[in-house]
Amino acid sequence: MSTDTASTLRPNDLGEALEAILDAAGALLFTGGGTKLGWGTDPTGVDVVIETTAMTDLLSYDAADATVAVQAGMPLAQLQATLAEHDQWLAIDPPHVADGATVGGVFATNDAGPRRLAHGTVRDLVIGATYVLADGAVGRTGGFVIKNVAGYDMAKLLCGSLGTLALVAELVLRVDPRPQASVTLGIPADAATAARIGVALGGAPVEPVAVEWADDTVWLQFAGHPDAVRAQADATVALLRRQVAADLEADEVEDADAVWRRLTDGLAGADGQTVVRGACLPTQLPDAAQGCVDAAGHAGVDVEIQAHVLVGVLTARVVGDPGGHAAFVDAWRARLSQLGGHAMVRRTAAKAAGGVDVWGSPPSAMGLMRQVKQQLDPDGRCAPGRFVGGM
Amino acid sequence: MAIDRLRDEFTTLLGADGVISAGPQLRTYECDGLTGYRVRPALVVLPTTTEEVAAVVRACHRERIPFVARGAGTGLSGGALPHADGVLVVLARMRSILHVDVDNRYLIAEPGVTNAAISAAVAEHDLYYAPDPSSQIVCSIGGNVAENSGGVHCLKYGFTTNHVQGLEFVTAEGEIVELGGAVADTPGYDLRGVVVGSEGTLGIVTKVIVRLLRRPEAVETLLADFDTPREAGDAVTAITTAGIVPAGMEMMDNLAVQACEEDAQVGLNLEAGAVLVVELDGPQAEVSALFGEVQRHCEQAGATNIRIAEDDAERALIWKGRKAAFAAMGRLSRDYFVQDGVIPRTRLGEVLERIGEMSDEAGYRVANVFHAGDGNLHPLVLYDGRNEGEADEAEELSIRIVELCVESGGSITGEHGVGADKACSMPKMFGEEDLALMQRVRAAFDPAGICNPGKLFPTPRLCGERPGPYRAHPLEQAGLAERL
Repeated sequence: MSTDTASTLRPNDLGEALEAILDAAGALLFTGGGTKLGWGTDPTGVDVVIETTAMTDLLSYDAADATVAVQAGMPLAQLQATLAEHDQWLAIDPPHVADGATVGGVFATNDAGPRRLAHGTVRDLVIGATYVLADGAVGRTGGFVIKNVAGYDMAKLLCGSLGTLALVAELVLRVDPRPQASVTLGIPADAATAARIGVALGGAPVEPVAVEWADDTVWLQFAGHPDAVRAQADATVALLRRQVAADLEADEVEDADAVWRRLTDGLAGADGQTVVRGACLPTQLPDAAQGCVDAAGHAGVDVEIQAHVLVGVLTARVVGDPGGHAAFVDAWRARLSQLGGHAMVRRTAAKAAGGVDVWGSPPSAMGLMRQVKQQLDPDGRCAPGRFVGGM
Repeated sequence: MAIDRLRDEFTTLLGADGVISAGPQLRTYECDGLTGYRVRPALVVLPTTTEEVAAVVRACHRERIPFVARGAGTGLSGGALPHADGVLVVLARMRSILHVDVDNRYLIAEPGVTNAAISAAVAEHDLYYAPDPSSQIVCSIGGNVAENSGGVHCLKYGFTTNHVQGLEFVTAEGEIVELGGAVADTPGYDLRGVVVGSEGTLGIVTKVIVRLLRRPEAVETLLADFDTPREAGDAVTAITTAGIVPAGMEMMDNLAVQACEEDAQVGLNLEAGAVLVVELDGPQAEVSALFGEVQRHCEQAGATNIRIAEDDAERALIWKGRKAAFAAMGRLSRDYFVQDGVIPRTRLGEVLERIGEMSDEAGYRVANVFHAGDGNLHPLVLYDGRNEGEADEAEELSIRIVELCVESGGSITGEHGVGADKACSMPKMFGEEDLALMQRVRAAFDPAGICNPGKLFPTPRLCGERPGPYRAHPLEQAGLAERL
């Protein structure tokens, strides 16, 4: 991202953030821990970077109410450590936590991990927000209670907007009890078997919290009461042997934390890789995975795939000749479009940048989205060009 | 006159039986579930397809005539209150379930399909739609989207916004667009998330894609009696701080218990100061492990009696009693105001005691029925509208109770919506700038300001007028009267 000539401001709180925005001229880029700056198209001509990394305060936390308010720059790891003291957590497991991902940054990208199956994404857990527009208007939305339908839910609009509408300064979130125990199973499976396992699980009275397909294995996690997770795992294996394959192998994973860390890191990819997020209906997983392999063959690159099986979201990590990354993206996107799905580029290998189409064709509501952008950021100062449709 | 032109145009478009412009039929539509507010619309239309809705909206936009969308008309905040010079777009004839995908667990419904019909349509596959507002037998999914409806199970399962994956949407200018979809993570701003709960002020929803859940393997329900609401509140706190998330947790105070018992004959203890209903669901092993803990927390908080539902029939009876609470109130009092404030659940005991004091001071009885797990109160202020001045005084008390909720860190509305009812209370929760920013979003969707104007946001006209007294609302009739 070309922000070399930009000046960087690090406000300590909402008031200073407002001052920084009022003082700044030209194009603005809002960042947190900077772990997902590669998302979206490179913004053009950023003059001022406003970084929230000095806004790390816990504003309020009431464990009995299961709500917490934080400044947006609080590292997610720090928040989780605070909540863990009360046997609670913010029920998301996105990548980059160890690299300093902030709560605000995860919110602005709506980044998520395998546990979104059970809890949704941060979109579903935010109950209030305070934000600052480029023109200095400060807005609050939602509140401090989980149930609240007063006014428009502006937080939904900001979540996943990549900082193209406003700087998010403070967030209020609902938190959940930390499960006392968990069990992870590893089941060898190709894409077709993974999809069949998905259908069987979706129609069964078992409640896995994550179902991830990677390395030709379906990784299943159950979390909850210590007695219950074991019973659920046993019931699931019996069910899958009835419905998917009588000789299905299922082993309990010893070092489950390491497995889930690796799977979560896999969603982020690494330097030198182009990471593409594809989406389709869960039962279309085999087609989407085959399309991914075909696209890689067509583009002359290598690809690793993993998928949130029951959510219908695939992650492809493209390695090899950077000259082929753009062709891979186009080919896989075309296949997913045929299925009624879509693809977004999450990270671009340095040498492949430029030719890669990050967003694909604009959604049908593009006109409304432009009007929203026009109303909230009329001068187009927030991360110009970063979002879908060149917004 | 523009409205006459529209009447003729819509008659050509929808046929004579798709337009109502005069007579007693028009009166059917002059209010929703908030019956104290009544406005006769200039015109009612009953489109049957998305294209017809879009054509109606385009014509309204061309003539700059306001329009209001209406589902089953069960809303409790006047969100579907007609505009006197405008068109009421009734979506009750769009009630087909268009597509069911069992393996991917979603369903596409037209907006007039009732909430309960969705779950009924997929019951044979052991699937269901989770949000379950008390009016679910008659309320429509389109209305649920407009209001972001909750229900008694939303503590664990969330609200409409967490279960609607996509919408087909007619913009305020008559364009048909898709927001979100059956496939996850659609690129772009989450406009679906803004439209859900926008109370019909941004456009008209013509299709709804909802997520379906597998029915839980096990359900356990108990009723616990307490001497005081504060003790019941202590049980709520003990259960939640133990890390248990019940599927539902509801409380009724003594007055509410009396009304429900008379109406539904659940077998509630008429002497109890408060009754708590706690339901757990999920995998059998999980529910079995935690249900004993819940009973223990109730006992430790001072429960005088615990009754466990023995089967689905008994469970259904308990919920029927709870869901009939508002309607049952008519047995205790000729008239009442209902509120929908929310407080942080840890302040339950304290706020209930304060409501009790306020009730004594004002001289009006207040019955409390509420979603204890999420702090959503439904205080009902009882009065007799035949006695001069009572309506005004009772309404004043009702408003003071909502203000108490906001002062306690809560909200003016947890699920009923702002609508026409609470628009003037919005400044209690939000500053001028907060509201101005929401208005900018509204302007993005509806530049002409013709889509359900006068709702949600405070306006001098609305906030200067005094509504008539609240009358007990015939929920079922309101819903059935629609089904033409």
